[in-house]
Amino acid sequence: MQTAMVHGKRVVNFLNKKKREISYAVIGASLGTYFITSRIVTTAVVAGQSMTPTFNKNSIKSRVLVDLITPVTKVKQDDIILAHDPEESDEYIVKRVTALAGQFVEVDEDCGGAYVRKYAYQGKLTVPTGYCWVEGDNKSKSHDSREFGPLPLGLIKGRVLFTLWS
Amino acid sequence: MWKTRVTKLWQMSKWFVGGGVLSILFYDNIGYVHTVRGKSMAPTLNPGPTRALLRERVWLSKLPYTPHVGDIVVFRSPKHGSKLAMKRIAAVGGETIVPSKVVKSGASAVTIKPGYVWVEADNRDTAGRDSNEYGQLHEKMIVGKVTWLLWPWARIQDLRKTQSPHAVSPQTQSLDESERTELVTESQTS
Repeated sequence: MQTAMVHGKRVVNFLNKKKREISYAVIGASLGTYFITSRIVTTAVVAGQSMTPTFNKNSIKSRVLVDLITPVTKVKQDDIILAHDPEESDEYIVKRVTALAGQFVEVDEDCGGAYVRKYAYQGKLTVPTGYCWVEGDNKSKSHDSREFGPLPLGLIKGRVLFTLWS
Repeated sequence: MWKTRVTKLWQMSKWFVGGGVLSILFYDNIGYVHTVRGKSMAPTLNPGPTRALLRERVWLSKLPYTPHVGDIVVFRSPKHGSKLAMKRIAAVGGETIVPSKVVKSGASAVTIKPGYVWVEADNRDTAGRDSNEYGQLHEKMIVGKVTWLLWPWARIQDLRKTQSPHAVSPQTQSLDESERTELVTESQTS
C-alpha cells in the first residue's frame, strides 16, 4: 500500500514538472516570437495592385519578409519599404523609394497626382530632409507620393527583403 | 564534441539572452528613462547644465496611447528621421487651432486631419522646431508619452498634470470653434 502511494506521488510530481516545463516553453516561445516580429523581421501580405508586377502578379497576394532592424537612415533609392499610411493612421503601405532627401524628383505635372500638380515647379520637386519620395511600381494604379507628397522617414517600419511566396 | 560545447554555452548564456530579450520587450512596450535635450520645453523641462549626470530625465511611457491635448510626447522628428523630439500636443485630429506663431506658419487657423496632431514647444522664445515650422505631425511618429520627471530628485513631479504656459483657459472649451478662435487671437494680442 505504502509503495503504491509513494509511487503515485512520484508520478504526480513528474506530471506537474512536465506541465511546468511545457508552460515555460510556451511562454518563452511566445515572448521570443513577439520579440522577433516586433524588432527583427516580420511578414506582411501585400494588398492591391500598386506594386505589380513586383508583387501581386496575377492578383495573388504576395507575402513578403520585412527587415525591421536596418535603421531608417540607411534606406537607399530603389528599396521597397513598408510604412504607415500617411492618410490612414492604422493602415500600412508598401512602396518603392524613388528619391531620397535632397534629391530632385522629375515629374510630369499633367500625369502627376494632387501633390505634384500643386507643388512641382518646372517639372521638378526637391525632397526635403527627413523625408523620402515613394512610388508604386504600377504607376497607373498607385496612390503614392505623387498624391500625398513626400513620406516622413519616421513612418517607415522596415525594408521589404523578398517575397516568401506569391 | 562541439555539441556538448554548444549545449554548455547555451546553459551559461541563456540567462543573458532571456534577460536581454525581456529588457528589450519592456523598453518597447512599458517604457524607459529618457534624457531631455534642448530648451524647447522650458520652464516645464530644462536641459540644465550640459554635464550628462545633471541633465533632466523623464519616464517615457510606451503603453498603448491615444493622443490628448496637453500631453507631452516624444516623437520621431519630421526634420531628421532618426532623431527624437519632445513637445506638447496642442491639438488633435478633428480640432481647429490657431498656430501660436501665425506669422511663421502663415495660416490663421488650421484644422487637424484625423490621425494627426499639432505639437508646440512650451518655450515660445526658442527657435523651437514644432508644428509651426513643420506642420501637422502624423500620430504614428509618436514614440511615447512623458509621464513623470524623475531626475533631479528635487524636481520630481507628475508631468501629466502640467499644462502649457500658454494654454487657453478651460472656460473656452465649451464654446464652438468660431468663438474659440476669436478668444485665442484676442489673448495673443493683449
